[in-house]
Amino acid sequence: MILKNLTFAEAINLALHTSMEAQPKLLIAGLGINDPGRFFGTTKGLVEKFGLDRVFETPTSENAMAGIAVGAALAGFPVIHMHQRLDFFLLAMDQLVNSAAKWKFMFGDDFSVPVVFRLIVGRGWGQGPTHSQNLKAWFAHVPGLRVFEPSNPGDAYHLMREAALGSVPTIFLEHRWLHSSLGELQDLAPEELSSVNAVAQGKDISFVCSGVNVAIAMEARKNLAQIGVEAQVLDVRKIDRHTSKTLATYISETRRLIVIDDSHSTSSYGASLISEIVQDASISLLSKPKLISKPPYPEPMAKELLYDYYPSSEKIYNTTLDILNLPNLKMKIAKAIDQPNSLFLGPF
Amino acid sequence: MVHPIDTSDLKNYYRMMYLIRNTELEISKKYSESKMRCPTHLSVGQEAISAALSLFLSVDDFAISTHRGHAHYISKGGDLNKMIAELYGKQTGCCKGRGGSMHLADKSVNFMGTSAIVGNSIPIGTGLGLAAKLEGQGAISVVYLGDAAVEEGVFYESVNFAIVSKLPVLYVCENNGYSVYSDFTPRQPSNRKISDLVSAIGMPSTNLELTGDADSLQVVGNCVEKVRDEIRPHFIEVKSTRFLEHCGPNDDSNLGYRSIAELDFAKAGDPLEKLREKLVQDNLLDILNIEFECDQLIVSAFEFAETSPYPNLETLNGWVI
Repeated sequence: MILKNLTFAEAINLALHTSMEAQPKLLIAGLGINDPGRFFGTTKGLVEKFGLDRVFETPTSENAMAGIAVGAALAGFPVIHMHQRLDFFLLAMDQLVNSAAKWKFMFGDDFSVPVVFRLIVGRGWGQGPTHSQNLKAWFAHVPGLRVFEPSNPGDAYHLMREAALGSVPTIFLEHRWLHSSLGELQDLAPEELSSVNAVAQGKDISFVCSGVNVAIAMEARKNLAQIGVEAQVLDVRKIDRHTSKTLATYISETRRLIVIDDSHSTSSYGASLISEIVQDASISLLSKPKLISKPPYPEPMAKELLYDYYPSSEKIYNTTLDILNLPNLKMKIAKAIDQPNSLFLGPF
Repeated sequence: MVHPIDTSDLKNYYRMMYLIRNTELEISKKYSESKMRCPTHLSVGQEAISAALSLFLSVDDFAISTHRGHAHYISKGGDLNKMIAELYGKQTGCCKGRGGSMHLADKSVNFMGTSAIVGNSIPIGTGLGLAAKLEGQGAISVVYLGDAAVEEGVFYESVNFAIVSKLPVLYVCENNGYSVYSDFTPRQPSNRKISDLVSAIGMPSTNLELTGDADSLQVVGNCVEKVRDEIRPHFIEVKSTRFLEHCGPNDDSNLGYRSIAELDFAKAGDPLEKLREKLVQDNLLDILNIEFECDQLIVSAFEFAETSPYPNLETLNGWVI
């Protein structure tokens, strides 16, 4: 059964329903999960079907609730703990880093911690300095955690299933702009996705991106194709300690690299990937790799200040021309948008 | 209410206190050999509450603890050989040499871990209580904490959730009066009683001094049974005194952060000695037998640790996810 025209939010919702059915001890907790908006529509129908014992609102206590999730998980009740913005979850870093990520290793492999922290990243429309943060490098840095960041509805479904029914503490990043995007789901049956997905092939250059930036990279690829440049687009949908090795095999085909990261440039995950690729003896790059990310200052509120703040398809296009020594064909950077445009409606 | 305390309970109580005390003293004695190469926070002087709880908890009940967790591990039934081997960093240790003194667990008896971060294990123990309630088999969760942990925000968050969700969690605060070397002056108001504070935010609380007698033991038993029967949380504050230094094997009376008189007063009221005095009047031989058996266990545990192999370096990269 192929589901077409499925939104990202509907795909998450479907994954939560099927996971709750598959694992009768799975719990879902968070602020606003049973409110009228149902967490951007993603928790629709869950409390009605599975009851308040398994789908519950929590006090506004991010750190304790993360630890409570760890405790319940240690005793056989996996938990998906949801946060409407990533920055709220920073209050729970102790439980994430010192508990969820450590219990298995620290106690000699006798425990597993099946918890998922679902974190939403915002952008524009005054999200401002805190609600817009994608701090994936913080999470990717900690041994014992893995980071999932889907870019489309089909992947969102499978990654959520894998996270919810697995035994590894997982940070699940969702960009708010993707929730309305459309896509398709080939099959409801669980499927373990590879960490890197070659979304599009190309021989001239590799674009490495995740989540919200995949649509932007695909737009740049389309525009570059018109001038005869063929870009490969690599969607990093799972980060663990093997991701850069997997990427290396793809990048060795093009030997030119742009990493597009939804985070600030300094010590970002993108910077770390570039470092690993540069150190990888199996690849000799034909040109210096480039990082396109947010600048090292917080997102301002005013739309007028957002010009050139985010990675954009024009910036990827122009950087590609620099790398390929085709400087005369540059595109003008469009005025900043602070609401999702048609790029984020899919299907991609 | 739990059954009335009898002499056999008191003997088991003594046995557990003695086992913990003398394990700790043996660690203290051997620590300078530098074979136990980890920060070690001994429970000498603070054994009574966990020994008391051991009489009322079953293997299915959960417990979780802090950096000063040896007493809690042993009293929950954790394997003594594996604990000492863990301190020695051996493959046979309860965490196979990954944890050390501050990170002990024995899953076979639902002793679910100890943490080096003050307050860190409180929500985890609360989550264990949530699991116990959902499982519906009558298990409870015991969360050990110290007096400084109530200065952490996560304590209030956890206690609040346990109250509103009616979780079977027994919070046990061992108030030894010091956060490392700091007394209460810079930490908490002098007129505050921790158990009153917890009562005021909605959790029934008991303030307790354990003197090695049957009555105070009975109170502990009643608290456990209340949590179990009524499926709701309870808080116990126990006045206790750490006889040795915060971290390490030594007496630190010379540092002057607490008075010798304060320590002497506490030692004069040592529940272990008080209970021994009472029990030997009835049957000296019984007590000597208990002590002999415990001594043998301790000797074997150190032999086990000394003769066990170190972990294999090849396994080190595993278990991360």
